Amino acid sequence: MAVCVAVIGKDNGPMYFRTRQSGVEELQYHFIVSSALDIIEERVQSSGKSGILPGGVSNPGALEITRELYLGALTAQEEYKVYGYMTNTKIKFVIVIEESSTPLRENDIRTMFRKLHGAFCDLMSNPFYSPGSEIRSKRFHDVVNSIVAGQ
Amino acid sequence: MAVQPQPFSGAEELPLELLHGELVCSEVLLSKDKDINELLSKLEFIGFSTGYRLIERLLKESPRFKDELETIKFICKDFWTAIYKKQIDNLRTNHQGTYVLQDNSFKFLSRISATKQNLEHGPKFLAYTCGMVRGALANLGIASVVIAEVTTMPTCRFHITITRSV
Amino acid sequence: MVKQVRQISGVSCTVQLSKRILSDRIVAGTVRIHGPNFFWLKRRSQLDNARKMSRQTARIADPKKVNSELFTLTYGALVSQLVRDYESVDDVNKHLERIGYNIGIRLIEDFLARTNFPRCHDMRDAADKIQQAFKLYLGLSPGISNWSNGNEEFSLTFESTPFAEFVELPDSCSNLKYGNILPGVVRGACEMVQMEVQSWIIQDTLKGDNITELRIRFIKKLEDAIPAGED
Repeated sequence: MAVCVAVIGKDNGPMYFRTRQSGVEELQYHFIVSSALDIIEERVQSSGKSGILPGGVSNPGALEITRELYLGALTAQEEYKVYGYMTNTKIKFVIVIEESSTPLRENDIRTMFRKLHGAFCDLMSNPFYSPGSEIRSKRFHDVVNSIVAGQ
Repeated sequence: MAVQPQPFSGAEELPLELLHGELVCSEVLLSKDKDINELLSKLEFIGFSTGYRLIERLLKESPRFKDELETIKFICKDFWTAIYKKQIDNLRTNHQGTYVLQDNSFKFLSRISATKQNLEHGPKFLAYTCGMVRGALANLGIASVVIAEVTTMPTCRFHITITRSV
Repeated sequence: MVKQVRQISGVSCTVQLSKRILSDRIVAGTVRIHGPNFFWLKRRSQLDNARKMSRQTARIADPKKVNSELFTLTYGALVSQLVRDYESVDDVNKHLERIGYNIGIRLIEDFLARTNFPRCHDMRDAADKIQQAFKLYLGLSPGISNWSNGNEEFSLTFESTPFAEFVELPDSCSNLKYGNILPGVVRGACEMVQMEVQSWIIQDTLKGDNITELRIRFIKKLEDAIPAGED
């Protein structure tokens, strides 16, 4: 089940951070998420982005790898797995999944991210939400709750 | 395949067209001193905000762009089609961060007649769209300056100058 | 300022940019009209190439949906701009109504041209047509209810406030009538067909009500004098 959901802005600052239980554990998840960001950075860098110099001059040595928004599992420890997703607008989503007796399938994880992305798009469309600021929206919070609750 | 005439087609586009016309022509965005530059910058910002948020929605299911040119092509085709129901007619670039997009029948100009006086009003009808393009690009990590130019109605050209690309 | 411009085809040309214009563009921001020779780049139709390399997956699925979202977002940007511009929320409400009115007086012409409807003979008839206009232009199907005894007043009911799908009102805007453009549109449109009506929002889902309800009251029949274009 999902134990931590984080939304990270363009500048790598956290916009939203939610853990299943608050308390001591929260700090640990902050650490997990920030190391996950490094991996996300690497993955999208190697997917050809860095091969483009300003002005659109392309570097022929750049490799074309995944252009999918869903980045898959980033790290896997004994107790948890970390999954990542980056939108076209460079907003990063990180979900930490705790290993449990009923393992989640890849498709379930994708569904979580799709839901999260949908909620994020709706949030962005609220004219009173200023892009990049901390997320305080109740609607967004409700969607994250449903993800954490495994619905 | 014969195209059936649809009496109600296009009706859903009218509200936006009228709202846009209203923003441009009424005084609702004008401050007391009626500064035209302020009006333009407000219109541009309304466009910016709209473009910034719209691109988030449009690219929800779409794979990542390979490079800047691909992004601009998306603006010319899908983005333009989403807004104006047609593609940009011509795209030129110097491959150094300047792009010129030409629309031969720009929707917001097609309803006003091509008098000299209206040509002077041209900037007002383009500010929103300039802002839309700048906003969409900004959210994709491409900072730019977008200006528009009208020579003969309803043709207009949008010059995008990239100032910083991530 | 002279800048070397490299063409895709490899042909070189020189572009003369007036320094003044260039700085104008950056300082004043956005839009200037320039003479035809302001900028010259060799033509090249890249769209043909673009078509070949098209990103099949990036197609925008539903143009109607995008269209309504575009309106929703633009309207939202306008409302938040007005909230910034005016200190009092009441002023914003007033302006939204007036924008609606001005749109209404134009919209009605398109509506009459498209539908060829004959003149309304009573308020029930008018209610029916207003309902159809909502369907035609916004794809909405409001209900008609709560007729007054004399059939001079009724309500249009919406499941939620139109154009407010994504809106969450901040606390500072608790008096904002977000959808206040609608009563204005109705008032403007009716006035152009010689009906003076009063219209206002009495329930709003953004404020926690179960439905959004727009009340419309017939005031009087206007004589054929042509009303002024502006409020």
